[in-house]
Amino acid sequence: MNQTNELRGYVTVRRFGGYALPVPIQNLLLRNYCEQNKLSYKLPLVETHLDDNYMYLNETIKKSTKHENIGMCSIYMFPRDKAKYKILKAEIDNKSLKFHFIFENNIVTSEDLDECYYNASLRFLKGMNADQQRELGLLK
Amino acid sequence: MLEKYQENLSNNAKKLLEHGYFIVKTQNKPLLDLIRDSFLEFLKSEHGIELDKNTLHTLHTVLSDKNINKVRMSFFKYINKSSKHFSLDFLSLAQDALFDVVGTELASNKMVNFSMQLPGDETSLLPIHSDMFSGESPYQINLWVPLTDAHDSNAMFICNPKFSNKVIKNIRDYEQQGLDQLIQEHPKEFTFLKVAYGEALIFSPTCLHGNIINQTNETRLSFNCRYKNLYSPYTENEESEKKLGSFYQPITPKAASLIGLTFEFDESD
Repeated sequence: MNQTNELRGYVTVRRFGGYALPVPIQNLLLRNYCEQNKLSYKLPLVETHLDDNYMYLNETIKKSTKHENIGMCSIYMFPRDKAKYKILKAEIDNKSLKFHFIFENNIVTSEDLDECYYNASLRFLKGMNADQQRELGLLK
Repeated sequence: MLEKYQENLSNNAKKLLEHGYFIVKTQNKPLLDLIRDSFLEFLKSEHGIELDKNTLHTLHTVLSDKNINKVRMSFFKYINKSSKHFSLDFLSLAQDALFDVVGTELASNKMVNFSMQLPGDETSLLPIHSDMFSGESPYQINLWVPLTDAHDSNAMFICNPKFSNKVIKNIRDYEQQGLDQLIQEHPKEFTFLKVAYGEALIFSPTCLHGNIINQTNETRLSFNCRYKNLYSPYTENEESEKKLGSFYQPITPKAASLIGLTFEFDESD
């Protein structure tokens, strides 16, 4: 099957972006999204319940083929740890993956993912120091 | 581990502790035959596929890739609605064995899962994992029953408790590389379980288990359900749905529990 009409799911048992959504509901949303957008749904890997562990997000990206679509509920399922994000991003860029974020109603290519990710991380800012503001491009 | 308690355990219980699993003959073959017949009838009436009990393992020759998940999901819903408590019916396939190793007052997960592993099909892969990764209770035991003979790469694999615990204790070390390479690095730790139609596999999901791409020329169909002692611990994680009511349901509470649940003191002042 043509990979551009497939969507590989990724779900988590952990809280993300303030939501705690049971895995079956996440699956339902992704399945529904695929039906509406005429995509074939590939069963997701389920992230571990361990705090700040992204073993199965790493695995999802590793198993993806070039230009594949990855579906998840939200950009907030990505690690807040920027070092971890950058490692994922390198492989995402390598494969030119495209992400479908259901809650944000957004389809994001690998080229645009940084902007999406860093914009999303603004939600968690608390009195940043100057280095952090520079990293986010908020200071010249 | 807690050796003094092990002396009085049954042989099956000792196998479970040492190997992480054991296999028994199903004790309700008529029910298993009925489930298989239901699937055959379902395939015919809902999907126009005609097979019989001797050719069920050739399902992959008449089912297209794009319909695998559709058939799986639709039969999963159908069979779980077929009786009021299908997980209780399913328990009867190996009730004595489960009562022996888990106890008689049980909870189960709400739906019995249905798996289809067609030759070469990557879409239904369940990579190496422990059910504990998703917050399920380490006190649960899984009952796995095939509708077709399971063997070699169309079967599930399991790692013994010692190896599994060693990996799981250091699971954070595998965050970037994942666990898939373990099968190449430690092939002797992986046992592909031969379970024939008419047999039932009981295993601890605290052990690493999963399946690989089916490289045989036979489709494997199987069911699985989790059972735990009703009063053994559930996850304390507030946001997890792996709790009684959402993921688990009581199925065999005893009279004492029913009395206790409905007992009320007069709390008036």
